[in-house]
Amino acid sequence: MIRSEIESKLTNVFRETFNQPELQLSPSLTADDVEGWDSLSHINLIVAVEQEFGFSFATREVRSMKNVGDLIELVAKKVG
Amino acid sequence: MSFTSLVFYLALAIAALMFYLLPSRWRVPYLLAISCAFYATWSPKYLALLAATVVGVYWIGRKLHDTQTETGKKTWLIGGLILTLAPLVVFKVQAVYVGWLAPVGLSYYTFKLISYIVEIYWDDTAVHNNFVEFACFASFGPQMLSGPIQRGYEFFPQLKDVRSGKTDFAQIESGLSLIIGGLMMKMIVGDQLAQFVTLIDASPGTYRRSVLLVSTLTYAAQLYADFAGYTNIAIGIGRIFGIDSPPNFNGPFSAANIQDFWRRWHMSLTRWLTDYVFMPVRMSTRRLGNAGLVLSIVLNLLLIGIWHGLTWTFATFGLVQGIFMGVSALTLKGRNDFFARAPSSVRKLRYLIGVLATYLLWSFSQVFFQARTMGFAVQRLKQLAGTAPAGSLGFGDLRTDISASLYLCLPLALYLGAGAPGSQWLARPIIRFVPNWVIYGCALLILSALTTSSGHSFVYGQF
Repeated sequence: MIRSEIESKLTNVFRETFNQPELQLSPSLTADDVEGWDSLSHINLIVAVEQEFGFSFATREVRSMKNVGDLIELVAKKVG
Repeated sequence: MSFTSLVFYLALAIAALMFYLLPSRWRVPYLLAISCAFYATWSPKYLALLAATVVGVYWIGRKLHDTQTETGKKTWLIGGLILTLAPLVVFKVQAVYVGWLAPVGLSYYTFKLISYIVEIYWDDTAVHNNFVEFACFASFGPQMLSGPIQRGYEFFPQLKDVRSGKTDFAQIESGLSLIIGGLMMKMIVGDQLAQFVTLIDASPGTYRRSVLLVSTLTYAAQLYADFAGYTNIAIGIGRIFGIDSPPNFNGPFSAANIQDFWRRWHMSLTRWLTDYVFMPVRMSTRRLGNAGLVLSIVLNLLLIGIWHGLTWTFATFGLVQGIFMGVSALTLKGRNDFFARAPSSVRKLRYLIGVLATYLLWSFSQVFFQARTMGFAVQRLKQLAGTAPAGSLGFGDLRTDISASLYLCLPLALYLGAGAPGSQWLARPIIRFVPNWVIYGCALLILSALTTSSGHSFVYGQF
Protein backbone atom coordinates (compact mmCIF):
# COMPACT_ATOMS: atom_id res chain seq x y z
CA MET A 1 0.00 0.00 0.00
CA ILE A 2 1.43 3.38 -0.94
CA ARG A 3 1.90 6.13 1.63
CA SER A 4 -0.83 8.43 0.29
CA GLU A 5 -3.38 5.61 0.42
CA ILE A 6 -2.44 4.92 4.05
CA GLU A 7 -2.78 8.59 4.94
CA SER A 8 -6.11 8.86 3.16
CA LYS A 9 -7.53 5.82 4.96
CA LEU A 10 -6.19 7.06 8.30
CA THR A 11 -7.76 10.48 7.74
CA ASN A 12 -11.15 8.81 7.27
CA VAL A 13 -10.64 6.72 10.40
CA PHE A 14 -9.77 9.82 12.46
CA ARG A 15 -12.70 11.77 11.06
CA GLU A 16 -15.14 8.99 11.92
CA THR A 17 -13.68 8.16 15.34
CA PHE A 18 -13.67 11.76 16.55
CA ASN A 19 -16.74 12.89 14.58
CA GLN A 20 -14.81 15.68 12.87
CA PRO A 21 -15.51 15.58 9.12
CA GLU A 22 -13.03 18.39 8.38
CA LEU A 23 -10.09 17.01 10.34
CA GLN A 24 -6.74 17.15 8.52
CA LEU A 25 -3.87 14.95 9.60
CA SER A 26 -0.30 16.12 9.88
CA PRO A 27 2.77 14.24 11.14
CA SER A 28 3.06 16.43 14.25
CA LEU A 29 -0.63 16.11 15.21
CA THR A 30 -1.17 14.78 18.74
CA ALA A 31 -4.08 14.15 21.12
CA ASP A 32 -3.66 17.70 22.47
CA ASP A 33 -4.69 19.04 19.06
CA VAL A 34 -7.88 17.04 18.59
CA GLU A 35 -10.99 17.55 20.70
CA GLY A 36 -12.24 14.33 22.19
CA TRP A 37 -8.95 12.47 21.73
CA ASP A 38 -7.94 11.33 25.21
CA SER A 39 -6.82 8.15 26.95
CA LEU A 40 -10.38 6.81 26.94
CA SER A 41 -11.02 7.35 23.23
CA HIS A 42 -7.44 6.51 22.18
CA ILE A 43 -8.14 2.78 22.15
CA ASN A 44 -11.28 3.36 20.03
CA LEU A 45 -8.93 4.93 17.48
CA ILE A 46 -6.51 2.00 17.74
CA VAL A 47 -9.31 -0.54 17.20
CA ALA A 48 -10.63 1.45 14.23
CA VAL A 49 -7.15 1.55 12.63
CA GLU A 50 -6.72 -2.19 13.23
CA GLN A 51 -10.08 -2.95 11.60
CA GLU A 52 -9.39 -0.64 8.65
CA PHE A 53 -5.99 -2.17 7.81
CA GLY A 54 -6.56 -5.71 9.08
CA PHE A 55 -3.72 -6.08 11.61
CA SER A 56 -3.24 -5.93 15.39
CA PHE A 57 -1.09 -3.54 17.42
CA ALA A 58 1.01 -4.67 20.36
CA THR A 59 0.77 -2.56 23.53
CA ARG A 60 4.44 -1.68 23.07
CA GLU A 61 3.72 -0.30 19.61
CA VAL A 62 0.75 1.77 20.81
CA ARG A 63 2.92 3.17 23.59
CA SER A 64 5.72 4.09 21.22
CA MET A 65 3.57 6.40 19.09
CA LYS A 66 3.99 10.03 20.11
CA ASN A 67 2.17 11.65 17.19
CA VAL A 68 0.30 10.91 13.96
CA GLY A 69 3.60 10.78 12.09
CA ASP A 70 4.68 7.81 14.23
CA LEU A 71 1.30 6.16 13.60
CA ILE A 72 1.66 6.54 9.82
CA GLU A 73 5.18 5.05 9.96
CA LEU A 74 3.99 2.12 12.06
CA VAL A 75 1.01 1.40 9.82
CA ALA A 76 3.27 1.57 6.75
CA LYS A 77 5.66 -0.92 8.37
CA LYS A 78 2.86 -3.31 9.31
CA VAL A 79 1.10 -3.35 5.94
CA GLY A 80 4.49 -3.92 4.31
CA MET B 1 12.08 15.74 59.22
CA SER B 2 8.69 17.13 58.33
CA PHE B 3 8.18 19.76 55.64
CA THR B 4 6.45 21.88 58.29
CA SER B 5 9.31 22.01 60.77
CA LEU B 6 11.73 24.88 61.18
CA VAL B 7 14.62 22.45 61.63
CA PHE B 8 13.94 21.05 58.19
CA TYR B 9 14.27 24.47 56.56
CA LEU B 10 17.47 25.24 58.42
CA ALA B 11 18.89 21.95 57.21
CA LEU B 12 17.60 22.63 53.70
CA ALA B 13 19.28 26.04 53.59
CA ILE B 14 22.61 24.52 54.62
CA ALA B 15 22.20 21.61 52.19
CA ALA B 16 21.37 23.94 49.31
CA LEU B 17 24.30 26.21 50.08
CA MET B 18 26.69 23.28 50.09
CA PHE B 19 25.15 22.00 46.85
CA TYR B 20 26.02 25.22 45.05
CA LEU B 21 29.49 25.45 46.64
CA LEU B 22 30.42 21.93 45.54
CA PRO B 23 32.26 21.36 42.25
CA SER B 24 29.56 20.47 39.75
CA ARG B 25 30.75 16.90 39.18
CA TRP B 26 29.94 16.10 42.82
CA ARG B 27 26.43 17.51 42.76
CA VAL B 28 24.59 14.39 41.65
CA PRO B 29 26.28 12.08 44.21
CA TYR B 30 25.62 14.81 46.78
CA LEU B 31 21.90 14.83 45.86
CA LEU B 32 21.85 11.07 46.37
CA ALA B 33 23.62 11.43 49.72
CA ILE B 34 21.25 14.07 51.09
CA SER B 35 18.24 12.12 49.79
CA CYS B 36 19.46 9.08 51.73
CA ALA B 37 20.12 11.24 54.80
CA PHE B 38 16.61 12.68 54.53
CA TYR B 39 15.18 9.18 54.20
CA ALA B 40 17.13 8.09 57.25
CA THR B 41 15.47 10.79 59.35
CA TRP B 42 12.14 9.09 58.62
CA SER B 43 12.83 5.35 58.25
CA PRO B 44 16.46 4.47 59.05
CA LYS B 45 15.59 0.76 59.31
CA TYR B 46 14.15 0.70 55.83
CA LEU B 47 16.97 2.54 54.10
CA ALA B 48 18.44 -0.92 53.51
CA LEU B 49 15.21 -2.06 51.83
CA LEU B 50 15.21 1.02 49.58
CA ALA B 51 18.88 0.44 48.72
CA ALA B 52 18.36 -3.25 47.97
CA THR B 53 15.33 -2.55 45.78
CA VAL B 54 17.17 0.18 43.88
CA VAL B 55 20.18 -2.08 43.24
CA GLY B 56 17.90 -4.93 42.19
CA VAL B 57 15.86 -2.82 39.78
CA TYR B 58 18.98 -1.25 38.26
CA TRP B 59 20.40 -4.72 37.60
CA ILE B 60 17.10 -6.03 36.20
CA GLY B 61 16.84 -2.95 33.99
CA ARG B 62 20.23 -3.76 32.46
CA LYS B 63 19.21 -7.40 31.92
CA LEU B 64 15.91 -6.37 30.37
CA HIS B 65 17.77 -4.11 27.99
CA ASP B 66 20.31 -6.79 27.03
CA THR B 67 17.83 -9.63 26.48
CA GLN B 68 16.79 -10.01 22.87
CA THR B 69 13.97 -12.56 23.04
CA GLU B 70 10.37 -11.70 23.90
CA THR B 71 10.23 -14.56 26.43
CA GLY B 72 13.40 -13.31 28.05
CA LYS B 73 12.06 -9.77 28.23
CA LYS B 74 8.79 -10.97 29.76
CA THR B 75 10.71 -12.97 32.36
CA TRP B 76 12.81 -9.99 33.46
CA LEU B 77 9.74 -7.76 33.46
CA ILE B 78 7.88 -10.15 35.75
CA GLY B 79 10.96 -10.47 37.95
CA GLY B 80 11.20 -6.72 38.24
CA LEU B 81 7.52 -6.37 39.04
CA ILE B 82 7.76 -9.03 41.75
CA LEU B 83 10.85 -7.39 43.27
CA THR B 84 9.20 -3.98 43.43
CA LEU B 85 5.64 -4.98 44.29
CA ALA B 86 6.41 -7.60 46.94
CA PRO B 87 7.38 -5.14 49.71
CA LEU B 88 4.44 -2.89 48.82
CA VAL B 89 1.92 -5.74 48.91
CA VAL B 90 3.39 -7.17 52.12
CA PHE B 91 3.21 -3.85 53.93
CA LYS B 92 -0.26 -2.97 52.62
CA VAL B 93 -1.63 -6.39 53.66
CA GLN B 94 0.01 -6.44 57.08
CA ALA B 95 -1.31 -2.91 57.71
CA VAL B 96 -4.78 -4.45 57.82
CA TYR B 97 -3.92 -7.30 60.20
CA VAL B 98 -0.81 -6.27 62.14
CA GLY B 99 -0.55 -2.51 61.84
CA TRP B 100 3.16 -1.81 61.34
CA LEU B 101 3.90 1.49 59.70
CA ALA B 102 5.07 1.10 56.13
CA PRO B 103 8.47 2.50 55.17
CA VAL B 104 8.18 6.14 54.24
CA GLY B 105 7.71 6.71 50.52
CA LEU B 106 7.26 3.00 49.73
CA SER B 107 4.31 3.54 47.41
CA TYR B 108 5.97 6.43 45.66
CA TYR B 109 9.39 4.99 44.99
CA THR B 110 7.86 1.63 44.09
CA PHE B 111 5.79 3.28 41.38
CA LYS B 112 8.81 5.17 40.04
CA LEU B 113 10.78 1.94 39.81
CA ILE B 114 7.93 0.03 38.15
CA SER B 115 7.60 2.79 35.55
CA TYR B 116 11.36 2.49 34.87
CA ILE B 117 11.18 -1.27 34.29
CA VAL B 118 8.03 -1.18 32.16
CA GLU B 119 9.44 1.64 30.00
CA ILE B 120 12.52 -0.49 29.25
CA TYR B 121 10.28 -3.46 28.43
CA TRP B 122 8.44 -1.32 25.90
CA ASP B 123 11.49 0.54 24.61
CA ASP B 124 14.93 -0.58 25.68
CA THR B 125 16.49 2.82 25.02
CA ALA B 126 14.85 3.84 28.32
CA VAL B 127 17.58 2.06 30.28
CA HIS B 128 19.92 4.30 32.26
CA ASN B 129 23.53 3.18 32.57
CA ASN B 130 24.68 5.35 35.47
CA PHE B 131 23.93 3.78 38.85
CA VAL B 132 24.43 6.93 40.93
CA GLU B 133 22.02 8.88 38.73
CA PHE B 134 19.53 6.03 38.78
CA ALA B 135 19.70 5.78 42.57
CA CYS B 136 19.25 9.55 42.76
CA PHE B 137 16.10 9.26 40.64
CA ALA B 138 14.63 6.46 42.75
CA SER B 139 15.40 8.03 46.11
CA PHE B 140 15.05 11.73 45.25
CA GLY B 141 14.30 13.33 48.63
CA PRO B 142 11.72 16.00 47.77
CA GLN B 143 9.50 13.45 45.99
CA MET B 144 9.89 10.71 48.55
CA LEU B 145 7.22 11.57 51.13
CA SER B 146 4.16 11.81 48.86
CA GLY B 147 5.31 12.22 45.28
CA PRO B 148 4.86 13.66 42.69
CA ILE B 149 5.64 10.39 40.88
CA GLN B 150 8.19 11.31 38.23
CA ARG B 151 9.34 9.27 35.21
CA GLY B 152 12.95 8.43 34.60
CA TYR B 153 12.86 9.96 31.13
CA GLU B 154 11.81 13.28 32.70
CA PHE B 155 14.36 13.15 35.52
CA PHE B 156 17.57 11.98 33.87
CA PRO B 157 17.87 14.78 31.28
CA GLN B 158 17.68 17.32 34.12
CA LEU B 159 20.73 15.78 35.76
CA LYS B 160 22.76 16.91 32.78
CA ASP B 161 22.26 20.51 33.81
CA VAL B 162 23.02 19.64 37.42
CA ARG B 163 26.28 17.96 36.37
CA SER B 164 27.22 20.92 34.19
CA GLY B 165 27.00 23.26 37.17
CA LYS B 166 24.20 25.34 35.74
CA THR B 167 22.60 27.65 38.31
CA ASP B 168 19.14 28.83 37.35
CA PHE B 169 18.21 31.67 39.72
CA ALA B 170 14.73 32.00 38.27
CA GLN B 171 14.15 28.32 39.00
CA ILE B 172 15.46 28.68 42.55
CA GLU B 173 13.25 31.69 43.18
CA SER B 174 10.19 29.94 41.79
CA GLY B 175 11.07 27.02 44.08
CA LEU B 176 11.16 29.33 47.10
CA SER B 177 7.82 30.90 46.25
CA LEU B 178 6.29 27.45 45.72
CA ILE B 179 7.55 26.35 49.15
CA ILE B 180 6.13 29.43 50.82
CA GLY B 181 2.84 29.12 48.90
CA GLY B 182 2.62 25.44 49.74
CA LEU B 183 3.25 26.01 53.43
CA MET B 184 0.59 28.68 53.53
CA MET B 185 -1.87 26.42 51.77
CA LYS B 186 -1.17 23.56 54.14
CA MET B 187 -0.94 25.49 57.39
CA ILE B 188 -3.23 28.45 56.92
CA VAL B 189 -5.94 26.72 54.90
CA GLY B 190 -5.65 22.93 55.19
CA ASP B 191 -4.94 22.67 58.89
CA GLN B 192 -7.64 25.20 59.81
CA LEU B 193 -10.24 23.29 57.81
CA ALA B 194 -9.01 20.06 59.38
CA GLN B 195 -9.85 21.44 62.83
CA PHE B 196 -13.49 21.83 61.83
CA VAL B 197 -13.75 18.48 60.03
CA THR B 198 -12.03 16.58 62.85
CA LEU B 199 -14.28 18.21 65.44
CA ILE B 200 -17.43 17.11 63.61
CA ASP B 201 -16.04 13.63 62.95
CA ALA B 202 -15.33 13.11 66.64
CA SER B 203 -19.05 13.16 67.45
CA PRO B 204 -21.13 13.45 64.29
CA GLY B 205 -24.31 12.39 66.06
CA THR B 206 -24.40 15.60 68.08
CA TYR B 207 -24.51 17.96 65.11
CA ARG B 208 -27.37 19.03 62.88
CA ARG B 209 -27.62 17.76 59.34
CA SER B 210 -26.59 21.12 57.89
CA VAL B 211 -23.32 21.01 59.86
CA LEU B 212 -22.69 17.43 58.75
CA LEU B 213 -23.31 18.38 55.15
CA VAL B 214 -20.88 21.30 55.29
CA SER B 215 -18.30 19.11 57.02
CA THR B 216 -18.66 16.46 54.30
CA LEU B 217 -18.26 19.11 51.60
CA THR B 218 -15.32 20.68 53.45
CA TYR B 219 -13.27 17.51 53.54
CA ALA B 220 -12.52 17.62 49.80
CA ALA B 221 -11.34 21.21 50.18
CA GLN B 222 -9.22 20.34 53.21
CA LEU B 223 -7.65 17.40 51.41
CA TYR B 224 -6.86 19.59 48.42
CA ALA B 225 -5.24 22.32 50.53
CA ASP B 226 -3.18 19.75 52.43
CA PHE B 227 -2.07 17.66 49.47
CA ALA B 228 -1.61 20.50 46.98
CA GLY B 229 0.25 22.39 49.69
CA TYR B 230 2.57 19.44 50.19
CA THR B 231 3.03 19.01 46.44
CA ASN B 232 4.01 22.65 46.00
CA ILE B 233 6.57 22.34 48.78
CA ALA B 234 7.97 19.14 47.25
CA ILE B 235 8.20 20.67 43.77
CA GLY B 236 9.69 23.85 45.24
CA ILE B 237 12.43 21.99 47.11
CA GLY B 238 13.29 20.04 43.97
CA ARG B 239 13.62 23.28 42.01
CA ILE B 240 16.09 24.65 44.54
CA PHE B 241 18.36 21.81 43.51
CA GLY B 242 17.69 22.31 39.82
CA ILE B 243 15.15 19.50 39.38
CA ASP B 244 11.63 20.17 38.20
CA SER B 245 8.88 17.71 39.16
CA PRO B 246 5.62 16.93 37.35
CA PRO B 247 2.48 18.67 38.63
CA ASN B 248 -0.12 16.95 40.78
CA PHE B 249 -2.95 19.45 40.58
CA ASN B 250 -4.45 21.70 37.96
CA GLY B 251 -7.50 23.38 39.42
CA PRO B 252 -9.47 20.15 40.06
CA PHE B 253 -12.53 21.97 41.36
CA SER B 254 -12.97 23.66 37.99
CA ALA B 255 -13.68 20.28 36.34
CA ALA B 256 -17.21 19.95 34.96
CA ASN B 257 -17.12 16.16 34.68
CA ILE B 258 -15.40 13.32 36.48
CA GLN B 259 -13.04 12.52 33.57
CA ASP B 260 -11.68 16.04 33.63
CA PHE B 261 -11.50 15.90 37.43
CA TRP B 262 -9.11 12.97 37.35
CA ARG B 263 -6.95 14.80 34.78
CA ARG B 264 -6.56 17.57 37.37
CA TRP B 265 -6.37 15.67 40.71
CA HIS B 266 -3.27 13.77 41.84
CA MET B 267 -2.18 13.97 38.22
CA SER B 268 1.09 12.09 38.57
CA LEU B 269 -0.75 9.08 40.01
CA THR B 270 -3.54 9.25 37.40
CA ARG B 271 -0.92 9.45 34.65
CA TRP B 272 0.96 6.51 36.13
CA LEU B 273 -2.15 4.33 36.36
CA THR B 274 -3.33 5.38 32.88
CA ASP B 275 -0.01 4.41 31.28
CA TYR B 276 0.85 1.27 33.26
CA VAL B 277 -2.54 -0.19 34.22
CA PHE B 278 -5.43 1.28 32.25
CA MET B 279 -3.77 1.26 28.85
CA PRO B 280 -2.46 -2.35 28.93
CA VAL B 281 -5.76 -3.60 30.42
CA ARG B 282 -7.75 -1.61 27.87
CA MET B 283 -5.62 -3.06 25.07
CA SER B 284 -6.46 -6.57 26.31
CA THR B 285 -10.16 -5.79 26.52
CA ARG B 286 -10.44 -3.70 23.38
CA ARG B 287 -12.44 -6.29 21.46
CA LEU B 288 -15.08 -6.38 24.23
CA GLY B 289 -16.64 -3.05 23.24
CA ASN B 290 -18.22 -0.95 25.99
CA ALA B 291 -18.04 -3.80 28.49
CA GLY B 292 -14.27 -3.81 28.06
CA LEU B 293 -14.11 -0.05 28.49
CA VAL B 294 -16.15 -0.07 31.70
CA LEU B 295 -14.20 -3.04 33.07
CA SER B 296 -10.89 -1.29 32.46
CA ILE B 297 -12.12 1.93 34.04
CA VAL B 298 -13.57 0.24 37.14
CA LEU B 299 -10.41 -1.82 37.64
CA ASN B 300 -8.23 1.25 37.28
CA LEU B 301 -10.17 3.28 39.81
CA LEU B 302 -10.55 0.35 42.18
CA LEU B 303 -6.76 0.16 42.18
CA ILE B 304 -6.55 3.88 42.94
CA GLY B 305 -8.83 3.20 45.89
CA ILE B 306 -6.96 0.25 47.37
CA TRP B 307 -3.56 1.84 46.68
CA HIS B 308 -4.51 4.10 49.59
CA GLY B 309 -5.15 1.04 51.79
CA LEU B 310 -6.53 -2.49 51.67
CA THR B 311 -9.79 -1.64 53.36
CA TRP B 312 -13.46 -1.83 52.39
CA THR B 313 -13.75 1.94 52.64
CA PHE B 314 -10.93 2.65 50.18
CA ALA B 315 -12.16 -0.09 47.87
CA THR B 316 -15.68 1.37 47.96
CA PHE B 317 -14.25 4.81 47.23
CA GLY B 318 -12.50 3.37 44.18
CA LEU B 319 -15.54 1.41 43.07
CA VAL B 320 -17.84 4.43 43.38
CA GLN B 321 -15.41 6.54 41.37
CA GLY B 322 -15.16 3.71 38.83
CA ILE B 323 -18.93 3.68 38.39
CA PHE B 324 -19.04 7.47 38.00
CA MET B 325 -16.22 7.38 35.47
CA GLY B 326 -17.79 4.46 33.60
CA VAL B 327 -21.09 6.31 33.27
CA SER B 328 -19.19 9.39 32.17
CA ALA B 329 -17.20 7.48 29.57
CA LEU B 330 -20.39 6.03 28.09
CA THR B 331 -22.46 9.21 28.12
CA LEU B 332 -20.21 12.29 28.02
CA LYS B 333 -19.72 12.36 24.27
CA GLY B 334 -23.47 12.14 23.69
CA ARG B 335 -24.11 14.89 26.19
CA ASN B 336 -21.42 17.09 24.65
CA ASP B 337 -22.92 16.57 21.18
CA PHE B 338 -26.36 17.47 22.53
CA PHE B 339 -25.16 20.72 24.09
CA ALA B 340 -22.88 21.68 21.21
CA ARG B 341 -25.88 23.21 19.43
CA ALA B 342 -27.19 25.03 22.52
CA PRO B 343 -26.79 28.81 22.98
CA SER B 344 -23.72 30.01 24.86
CA SER B 345 -25.70 30.92 28.01
CA VAL B 346 -27.02 27.35 28.24
CA ARG B 347 -23.54 25.93 27.78
CA LYS B 348 -22.22 28.22 30.53
CA LEU B 349 -25.02 27.09 32.83
CA ARG B 350 -24.27 23.48 31.96
CA TYR B 351 -20.62 24.07 32.85
CA LEU B 352 -21.53 25.54 36.26
CA ILE B 353 -23.94 22.70 37.01
CA GLY B 354 -21.24 20.28 35.93
CA VAL B 355 -18.68 21.84 38.29
CA LEU B 356 -21.13 21.65 41.19
CA ALA B 357 -22.22 18.10 40.35
CA THR B 358 -18.61 16.92 40.03
CA TYR B 359 -17.71 18.40 43.42
CA LEU B 360 -20.79 16.79 45.00
CA LEU B 361 -20.03 13.39 43.47
CA TRP B 362 -16.41 13.68 44.59
CA SER B 363 -17.49 14.64 48.13
CA PHE B 364 -19.93 11.73 48.22
CA SER B 365 -17.20 9.24 47.35
CA GLN B 366 -14.88 10.92 49.87
CA VAL B 367 -17.29 9.88 52.66
CA PHE B 368 -15.87 6.39 52.13
CA PHE B 369 -12.31 7.64 51.64
CA GLN B 370 -12.36 9.50 54.93
CA ALA B 371 -14.34 7.08 57.10
CA ARG B 372 -12.53 4.80 59.55
CA THR B 373 -14.90 1.92 58.82
CA MET B 374 -17.78 1.14 56.46
CA GLY B 375 -20.08 1.53 59.46
CA PHE B 376 -18.97 5.13 59.91
CA ALA B 377 -19.40 5.85 56.20
CA VAL B 378 -22.88 4.33 56.02
CA GLN B 379 -23.91 6.12 59.22
CA ARG B 380 -22.73 9.46 57.81
CA LEU B 381 -24.67 8.90 54.58
CA LYS B 382 -27.78 7.95 56.54
CA GLN B 383 -27.45 11.07 58.68
CA LEU B 384 -27.06 13.22 55.55
CA ALA B 385 -30.07 11.56 53.94
CA GLY B 386 -32.13 12.03 57.09
CA THR B 387 -32.73 8.31 57.71
CA ALA B 388 -30.59 8.33 60.85
CA PRO B 389 -31.00 10.84 63.67
CA ALA B 390 -28.75 13.86 63.68
CA GLY B 391 -27.98 16.05 66.68
CA SER B 392 -28.97 19.54 67.64
CA LEU B 393 -25.70 21.50 67.66
CA GLY B 394 -25.50 24.03 64.86
CA PHE B 395 -22.94 26.45 63.44
CA GLY B 396 -23.71 28.90 66.23
CA ASP B 397 -22.51 26.32 68.76
CA LEU B 398 -19.05 26.11 67.23
CA ARG B 399 -16.15 27.88 68.93
CA THR B 400 -15.67 31.28 67.31
CA ASP B 401 -12.15 30.55 66.07
CA ILE B 402 -13.29 27.32 64.40
CA SER B 403 -16.29 28.86 62.68
CA ALA B 404 -14.25 31.91 61.65
CA SER B 405 -11.59 29.65 60.16
CA LEU B 406 -14.29 27.71 58.33
CA TYR B 407 -15.93 30.80 56.81
CA LEU B 408 -12.56 32.22 55.73
CA CYS B 409 -10.73 29.08 54.69
CA LEU B 410 -13.43 27.08 52.92
CA PRO B 411 -14.09 29.67 50.19
CA LEU B 412 -10.33 30.23 49.89
CA ALA B 413 -9.65 26.50 49.53
CA LEU B 414 -12.41 26.15 46.94
CA TYR B 415 -11.04 29.16 45.06
CA LEU B 416 -7.52 27.74 45.06
CA GLY B 417 -8.83 24.29 44.12
CA ALA B 418 -10.61 25.80 41.14
CA GLY B 419 -7.25 27.06 39.89
CA ALA B 420 -7.45 30.52 41.48
CA PRO B 421 -9.14 32.13 38.44
CA GLY B 422 -8.14 35.74 37.98
CA SER B 423 -5.38 35.60 40.56
CA GLN B 424 -2.68 36.73 38.09
CA TRP B 425 -4.75 39.81 37.34
CA LEU B 426 -5.50 40.40 41.04
CA ALA B 427 -1.86 40.02 42.03
CA ARG B 428 -0.49 42.36 39.35
CA PRO B 429 -0.95 45.63 41.30
CA ILE B 430 0.60 44.04 44.39
CA ILE B 431 3.57 42.65 42.49
CA ARG B 432 4.15 45.95 40.73
CA PHE B 433 4.28 48.02 43.88
CA VAL B 434 5.42 45.67 46.61
CA PRO B 435 8.95 44.25 46.35
CA ASN B 436 9.24 40.46 46.38
CA TRP B 437 11.19 40.42 49.61
CA VAL B 438 8.35 42.17 51.45
CA ILE B 439 5.83 39.61 50.21
CA TYR B 440 8.10 36.69 51.17
CA GLY B 441 8.93 38.30 54.51
CA CYS B 442 5.27 38.73 55.45
CA ALA B 443 4.51 35.18 54.40
CA LEU B 444 7.41 33.82 56.46
CA LEU B 445 6.32 35.83 59.52
CA ILE B 446 2.81 34.42 59.29
CA LEU B 447 4.16 30.94 58.83
CA SER B 448 6.58 31.09 61.74
CA ALA B 449 3.71 32.20 63.97
CA LEU B 450 1.80 29.13 62.87
CA THR B 451 4.62 26.57 63.04
CA THR B 452 4.46 26.28 66.80
CA SER B 453 0.69 25.81 66.88
CA SER B 454 0.34 23.35 64.00
CA GLY B 455 1.00 19.74 64.81
CA HIS B 456 -0.71 18.26 61.78
CA SER B 457 1.12 15.88 59.51
CA PHE B 458 0.31 15.58 55.83
CA VAL B 459 -2.68 13.41 54.99
CA TYR B 460 -0.93 11.78 51.99
CA GLY B 461 2.15 10.88 54.02
CA GLN B 462 0.31 7.82 55.32
CA PHE B 463 -0.18 6.26 51.85
